[in-house]
Amino acid sequence: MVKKYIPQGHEDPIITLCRMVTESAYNDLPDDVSTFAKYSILDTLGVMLGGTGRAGIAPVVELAKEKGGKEESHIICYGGKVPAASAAMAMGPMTRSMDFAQLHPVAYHCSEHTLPALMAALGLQKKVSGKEFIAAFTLGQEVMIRIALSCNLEKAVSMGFGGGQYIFGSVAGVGKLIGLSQQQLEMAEGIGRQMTQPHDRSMFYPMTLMVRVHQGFVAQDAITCCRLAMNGITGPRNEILVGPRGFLSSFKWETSPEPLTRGLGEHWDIIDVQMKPFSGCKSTHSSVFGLLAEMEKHSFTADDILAIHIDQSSGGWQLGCEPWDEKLDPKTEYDCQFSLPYSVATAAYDKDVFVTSYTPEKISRVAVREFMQKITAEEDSTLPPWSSRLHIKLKNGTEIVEEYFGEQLKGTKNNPFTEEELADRFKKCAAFSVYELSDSVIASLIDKLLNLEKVEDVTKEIILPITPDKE
Amino acid sequence: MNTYERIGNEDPISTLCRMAINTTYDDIPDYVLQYSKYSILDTIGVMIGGSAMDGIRQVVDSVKEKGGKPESNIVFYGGKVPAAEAAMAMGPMSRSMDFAQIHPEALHCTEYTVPVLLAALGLKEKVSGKEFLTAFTLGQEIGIRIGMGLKPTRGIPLGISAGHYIFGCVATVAKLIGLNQNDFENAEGIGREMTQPHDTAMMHPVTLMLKVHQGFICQDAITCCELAKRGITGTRGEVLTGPRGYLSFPRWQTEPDALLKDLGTKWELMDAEFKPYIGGVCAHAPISGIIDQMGDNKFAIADIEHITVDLPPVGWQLLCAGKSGSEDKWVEPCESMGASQEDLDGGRAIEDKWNPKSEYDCQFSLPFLIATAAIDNDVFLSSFEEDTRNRTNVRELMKIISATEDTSLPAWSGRVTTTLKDGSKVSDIYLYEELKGTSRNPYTEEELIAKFKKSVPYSVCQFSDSVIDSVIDTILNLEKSQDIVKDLVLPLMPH
Repeated sequence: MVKKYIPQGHEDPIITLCRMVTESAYNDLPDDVSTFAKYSILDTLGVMLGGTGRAGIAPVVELAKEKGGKEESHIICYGGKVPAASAAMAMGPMTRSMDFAQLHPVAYHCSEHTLPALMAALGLQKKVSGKEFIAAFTLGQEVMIRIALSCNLEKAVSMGFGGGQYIFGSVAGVGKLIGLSQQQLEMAEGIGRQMTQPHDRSMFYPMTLMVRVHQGFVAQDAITCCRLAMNGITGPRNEILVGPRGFLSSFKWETSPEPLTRGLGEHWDIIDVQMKPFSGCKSTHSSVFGLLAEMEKHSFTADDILAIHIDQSSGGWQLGCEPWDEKLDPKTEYDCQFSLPYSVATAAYDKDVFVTSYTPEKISRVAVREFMQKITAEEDSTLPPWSSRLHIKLKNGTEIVEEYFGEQLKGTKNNPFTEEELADRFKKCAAFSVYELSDSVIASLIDKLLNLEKVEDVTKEIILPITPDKE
Repeated sequence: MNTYERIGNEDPISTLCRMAINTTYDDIPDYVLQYSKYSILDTIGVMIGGSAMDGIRQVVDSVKEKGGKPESNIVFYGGKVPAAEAAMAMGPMSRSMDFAQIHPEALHCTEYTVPVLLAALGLKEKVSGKEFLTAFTLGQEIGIRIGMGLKPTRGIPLGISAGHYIFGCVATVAKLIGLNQNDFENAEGIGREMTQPHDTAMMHPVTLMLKVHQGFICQDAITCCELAKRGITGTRGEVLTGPRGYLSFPRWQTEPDALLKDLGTKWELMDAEFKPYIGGVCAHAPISGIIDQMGDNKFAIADIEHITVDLPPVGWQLLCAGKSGSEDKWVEPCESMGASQEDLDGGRAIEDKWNPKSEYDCQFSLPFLIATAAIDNDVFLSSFEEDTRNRTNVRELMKIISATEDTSLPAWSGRVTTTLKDGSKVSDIYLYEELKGTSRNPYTEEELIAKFKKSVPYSVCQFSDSVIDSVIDTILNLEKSQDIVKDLVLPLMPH
């Protein structure tokens, strides 16, 4: 029977959310939710593996290893055991570096923060079963997504700001995994509330490595918050999310607290999370997806295209299109990840946008650079979020106009990846791991992750195979 | 004297970084250096006094349990850990007594810059006193200027506070370890994404996070610098100003012009005041007021019928909110805030400034602070010890103290009206500027030394008089030290 969680009295909604976290176990999760959580873990871990060799990752790992300390948690692919918080700092950035991890259409980034924090927190427990890991992941994700839903992030981004809510989910996940009591979890969330970094849009203009390193800070702080709460450090508990001093009141745009506890326990927002079909900013995906669909439908190639005009929905307009001059001349991997013209031009030639699209050779391809000059774009606030309208002119005079909506994309609820497709994605990413993984290890990992509820020791069965460490 | 102006359309953080990089010890006026030495002396005294207070040992233990590369010493407790971890351990010590310097516009400052600098010492083989002073002064100046641009005092009445503290910390560490302009700007850009809100929610009721927050900031500041040194890039285009800049985020009007005004010629850190009492600075004018009234008018506690304190909005929000109004308008907080009995039983009680329980509840309770000052003629560490804070005479006196918010009063001031049993009334407004410790009424060097020594007996570890005298002498002659760790830090380790 489904257990509902309803706010009691005038408690802050974080209290209700914490109650759900502390009182729910794996067996309380509906099957479709726990299955989706397993897919999310599979997908995000694959993305982490693929991201381990990207720019900025090695320096963060080196710093964590140089600091050293108590051997608690493994750093995947690089090896070495360090304090859990340091491992979180090291592994957090891996999830974002491919820009290929899951995204909730309204709450945005989620598993990028939850999964590395949880993987690092494994070192705080003697043994964690697959069921415990799934439960902690699911509950952490749900808490974070609900808080993000109430932040009105679309409005925030349009004003130049980001979130800051990420830490709440990481704290919830870690707090569940290490078995914090209700009081301790509330304290940990209260401490975390004071660590809600802005995750501001300014770090995208120009693109900086902090876009990915930020995840490390959040994951590290989440573990520190939980440890401090366990040691008796108190954080605010009365106005964490709502009220005049609450998190949602700190913004200068309107927020809506209703999603925080609406249908809590019955409805699971995490199943709306979308898996990305392409590497790079989600704002470019409807255009890339649309172009590839039209190329297949009308059987034309990049060389047949005379011009493309893209009407882009507002949500991601800034990220992929402003300032246009800079988007037409991206220089680094992360510049390219956030350039609509680069993504579309690359897709036209390669039929895909993946980590291989960002090598120095690919970035400087003359054909792609010339193709980018054929692309124009305009913001269209009437389009639904994450959508675009393509106007494609071919050299033979053909004109194609088609709209592609966010919810049609591969990886969404309406068009999900099959289990086999998810396994293929994992393999595709794992090939770029800095720690070379054999086909048999990858196959075994996929099998374990798809049957995570049967795993008795996550560290032994999932982490050690992707780590040079012996134990 | 060098001046620093914005070049082209650069973000003001670039100008501030340029000032930090290009300014040497010899470029800083003597009076500023002297003031910095006093600030360091005062803050280390406050750290000593706060070292045994609630929450400190837990954070230190947590850090020591993690261990790691022995880079930096943890003063008073001992042990060497990575610099960022030492910063986490020492940051909370500076806030614990709530006795460190405060700038009237930028608020807390040395609480961040001194512990982070002490922790960063481990990142260099040797740091001279001149290098230490220079890094401290520049970090303070940058942190205060960004605070003046932010105007957190406008946020507090809205329930929101600051988040700018990390900028000064990053600047002071970056200067100490010698980051170049590019890395320095990246470190500040990384720090810009770590501007935690430091929200007033953690003061209602007062929680240990109020002091532990300093540890997170100091830890992050060192990590920001270490990452920038390793090539991690941070926000560069719109760090402080512009549509996506830090000063565009708050719900209140910010003052970007304050960031660079007279940069290099005017030193805003000179306005950071030394606290005459422990506890929220917004209580200090009325504390001073009740002590003065009793001294000037020769009345005793037994003569008092009633005390009313009027406070401006910031003080009201921090020291009185939770139970409000004059005596006849008092409302039970449980009813007013809708707390259920279950909430109260579950430890989530709505605060009551007229019934503070813990050490830190008392630090932020106006009636407690006023009653204590009236009875003891002072508010200091001993005022918050369990027996002292539960004294019947204090609690009884609190019952005849009421408070109201008065938006017409100047910031940090207070009007104290004391009605005596003989029917007479004494009333006056006590201004912040007149307080002991401000630039109009500064402490002498001897008074600062006495203030330092007053905190020493409360240290978690014991120091001999000769060690304390030597530490004071080192700080007051900091420019002569060739090795700060040897001359200042090691004497503060437990023996």
